[in-house]
Amino acid sequence: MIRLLINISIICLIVAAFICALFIGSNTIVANKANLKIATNINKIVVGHSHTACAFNDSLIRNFKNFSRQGEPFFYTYFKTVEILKQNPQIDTVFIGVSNNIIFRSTDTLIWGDEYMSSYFSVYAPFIGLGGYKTLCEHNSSGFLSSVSKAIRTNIETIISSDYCYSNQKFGGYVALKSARKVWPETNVDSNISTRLNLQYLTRLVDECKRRHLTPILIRTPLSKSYPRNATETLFQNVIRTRFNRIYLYDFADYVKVQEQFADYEHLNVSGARMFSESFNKFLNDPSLFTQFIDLQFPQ
Amino acid sequence: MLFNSFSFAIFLPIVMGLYWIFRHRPHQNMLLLIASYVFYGSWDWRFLLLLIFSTLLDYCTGIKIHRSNRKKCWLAVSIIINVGFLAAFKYYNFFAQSFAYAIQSLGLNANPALIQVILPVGISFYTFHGLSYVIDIYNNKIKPESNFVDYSLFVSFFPLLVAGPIERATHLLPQIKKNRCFNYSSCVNGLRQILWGFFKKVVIADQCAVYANMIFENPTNFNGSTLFIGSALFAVQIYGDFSGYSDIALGTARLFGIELLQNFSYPYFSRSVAEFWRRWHISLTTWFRDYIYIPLGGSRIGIIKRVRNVFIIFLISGLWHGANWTFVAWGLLNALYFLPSVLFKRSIILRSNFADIMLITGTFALTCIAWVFFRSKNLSQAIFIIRKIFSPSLLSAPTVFPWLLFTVVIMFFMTEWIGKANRFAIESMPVRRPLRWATYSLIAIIIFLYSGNQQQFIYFQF
Repeated sequence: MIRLLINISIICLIVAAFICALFIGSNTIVANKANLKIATNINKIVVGHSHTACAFNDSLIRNFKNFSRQGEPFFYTYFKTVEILKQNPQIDTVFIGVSNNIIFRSTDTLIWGDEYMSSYFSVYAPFIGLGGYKTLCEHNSSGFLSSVSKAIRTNIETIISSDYCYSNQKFGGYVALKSARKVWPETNVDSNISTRLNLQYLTRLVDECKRRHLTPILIRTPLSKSYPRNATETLFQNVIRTRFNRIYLYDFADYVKVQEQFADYEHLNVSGARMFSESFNKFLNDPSLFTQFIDLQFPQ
Repeated sequence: MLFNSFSFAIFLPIVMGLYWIFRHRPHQNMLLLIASYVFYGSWDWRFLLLLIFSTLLDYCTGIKIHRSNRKKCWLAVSIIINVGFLAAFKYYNFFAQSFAYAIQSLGLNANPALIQVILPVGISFYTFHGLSYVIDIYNNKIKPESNFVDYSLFVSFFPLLVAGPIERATHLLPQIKKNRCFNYSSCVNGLRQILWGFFKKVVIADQCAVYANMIFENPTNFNGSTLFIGSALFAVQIYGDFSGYSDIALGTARLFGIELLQNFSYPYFSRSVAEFWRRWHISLTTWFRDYIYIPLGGSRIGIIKRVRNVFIIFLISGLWHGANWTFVAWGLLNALYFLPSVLFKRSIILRSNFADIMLITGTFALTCIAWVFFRSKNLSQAIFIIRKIFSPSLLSAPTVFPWLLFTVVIMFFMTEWIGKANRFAIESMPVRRPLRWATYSLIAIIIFLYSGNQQQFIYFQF
């Protein structure tokens, strides 16, 4: 029995050491070679989840790039944005998409839920530090292990194909919604928000922008009139006012009035995105035309 | 608790460690029984009540059959209740709905009351365990087991509880009654078999499932050649999935000093469909042979009755797999494939490698066509796929061709071919220890790398 245990332990150690070496090695190679450079004239980016991904058609906005990814929590957005900023010193403004659903408890499960974690982690693993791994492992250790396996495979595929370009859709981009999407009801609203990891990483993202002397701006994209905002609006406003009272909030929630411009209650469709992006382009050129959408209560 | 889950990875070493600490057989058996109930109850504790009821029923009727003068009566009680439960849980809705459709097609109104219950995991397997036990007592092959713990362990031994192999009391009970000592080489062999089982499941089956699911979900989007690739990938998937499960079950049992029945013997290297059925899900095939085919007369009767028996066996086999007409069609198609071996008892013996390869390829192609019925949602989808496969588009270039997966699958079958003299492909490796350990480590690493895309075992639904 002892002999068996010793032999199993030796094989397990060999396997574990090899997997660790593969993970660290492939992460290092990908992180060193990852190309996140965008055109030098682009000095504004937007990050966030599906709301911003569907709202900003960056081909219609000058000097602007959309890096939003559907369902992406701020935990991953933070590490991604840090990497983008490292390689693109010309960026001076970071728009961070916020919406009522960032205060939902369910957003936290997007960070470490089995499916979500393996989907995001496989792409962002080379850019997430030890602290990030620890956080994920603490919340879902078995899911973390399977995410590591997927991340190693993704890294190996990247290395074999030599496709280190992350500034394309790998890190997100505009999503054109043509047909109606499934409508997600607002649920799991809960007043105990202080411990939520997602908001902590939003704060870290804002702090990182400030540390680099960039302008972080929170932005809320249009929401349909039918979107059931009442249940969460007060809480949302409280979070923004108490945690982020030193930065601007550009609130376009009521900007689009026509339901036909939406794919559902909260996402603009292709035509809505075109209209909004063209307006946003004008807004960037002359913000004074749109003063009603800028929350002036929180001067920078 | 799935074999390919984190919880099982913790559960198994704990049970195994405690098992070998207990040196007395009654304690070991009690521990295994408790572990089996924990394992099974982790799905849903209500299923456990049914399992215990089924165990009690067969335990009592077994004793009654042996002692009473009304043996037939007690056997009937056991069969009716066992099959009744199986029918109620698995087949009631299917037959009720089919009957209603038949009535409606005659222009009459039928609105059958359906029951909303989840099919208990492994019910088809443990019901067959129990049935084989009482039938063997009736046939005086064994005596009833007096120790309830030992009998319960025979029915619910966790490695085989949810997806077989379907054990026989004549094979498993004597092992449960025997003192078991720790045997290093047996345990190592068990671990090797578990490793190979996981490789089949995680690397072969789960990766084939990605493409097979994609093709079978929307068959209208694909041409004939792609649909054939889809059915071939499903054939590999179901083999990897089920034989992988069986390997894990057999390997796990070996860790406790128990040998289970071999369930697969390289079926895709068969040169005829009859041979395929001697190598595929052996424990079920032999169960049907011993408890249905032979009592119906077996091969010692006229040709018409033999043909009838073959159709009965495959019809029941199809229905055993699931309550759907697609499984019935799968069973009947296999019966048709099987007929030549019944009608022409002497098979043509060809002694050349080329002939062997042709026969193996032909048998594989036939089984792939049959698997289309097994995998399809309904009969019309299966017929659509078969029609498209046998259309000129079979000769067009496939739209899905996962070359990397094909390479892995070909290497896997080459390994199986090399190791086909063993019970499982990597049972014996005549190389030095460092190379052997390097191979095990490499297999474990590959399993880990592919473990992010796990799918449930297909046979759990049966």
